Amino acid sequence: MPTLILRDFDRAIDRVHALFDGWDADGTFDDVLGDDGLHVFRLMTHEWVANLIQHAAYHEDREIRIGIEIQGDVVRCVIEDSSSGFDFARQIEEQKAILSAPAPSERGRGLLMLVTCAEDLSFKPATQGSRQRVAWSLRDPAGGNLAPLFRPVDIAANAPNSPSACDESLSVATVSQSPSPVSPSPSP
Amino acid sequence: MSFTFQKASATATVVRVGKALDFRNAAEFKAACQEHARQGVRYYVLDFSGTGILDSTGLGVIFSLYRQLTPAGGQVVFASVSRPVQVVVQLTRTYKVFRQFPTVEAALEAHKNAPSGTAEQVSQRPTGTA
Repeated sequence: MPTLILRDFDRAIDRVHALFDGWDADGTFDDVLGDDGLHVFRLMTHEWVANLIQHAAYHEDREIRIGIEIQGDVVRCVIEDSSSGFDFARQIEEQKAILSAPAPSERGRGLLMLVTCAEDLSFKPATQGSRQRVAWSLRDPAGGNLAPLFRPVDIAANAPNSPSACDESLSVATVSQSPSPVSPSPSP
Repeated sequence: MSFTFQKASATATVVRVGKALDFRNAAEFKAACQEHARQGVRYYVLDFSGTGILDSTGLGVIFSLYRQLTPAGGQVVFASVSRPVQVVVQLTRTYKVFRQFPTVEAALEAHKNAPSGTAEQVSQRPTGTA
């Protein structure tokens, strides 16, 4: 699958969704991701790209490169960008703290959603001479680690208006923050 | 902006969220909701029937509205929830906060039948319209 290269940030998120709309229409990932997987994958990609558009600082030409491909029974995503990067682990800790507050928070769910859904998440911070890079895999939510979140019985068992119980599903797996992340698989 | 407001009564309004509620239009959505709240709206039915994108920023402004309304007995409910939005609801378990109705009409009916015309609790269980 071709690498999506985003330089016009005014149109970046639209281009991401146009890509997913095409996959949704032709069922590209149906066999791997099942009924809900593409929605989850779209959300994860959206959250990361939105973060790069809204919050990242760029000292050179702005560019985001997205590579997505099927690898066996998972879909793998690698995103590189030309920003000066950010402290991923600290952001996660901050979001966890926000969500631990008694009242539902207005912010602080995006990265947690990504981390919760991802398998084999790796993150490489930007350094001189190398770009920030994140990579993750996703398998069919119905059969993977997300399955409990999609059980109808789980929904019915929980009455609304219990804000303190909200977001408890956003438990965070360990983020692999490595100087040598997975190689991106995007084809040129 | 893709959302529209349609007043259903003096205290209730239906918000047709449209294709997306995300970081691009969340601030505008929040301002519009606050303006309606100033005009006395206390019951918001968010119609997600045509919504393909609800991101964390969009969900955040809904929580902001929830926090603004609940001290005054107000309520935010979801109706006709599309599958992409239902995925977000499942991942964040926000079905524990926002009631879901299969249709906008069902949500308005629940409000109409609530005691004293306020946004009282209704017994309907959350439902998705996948």
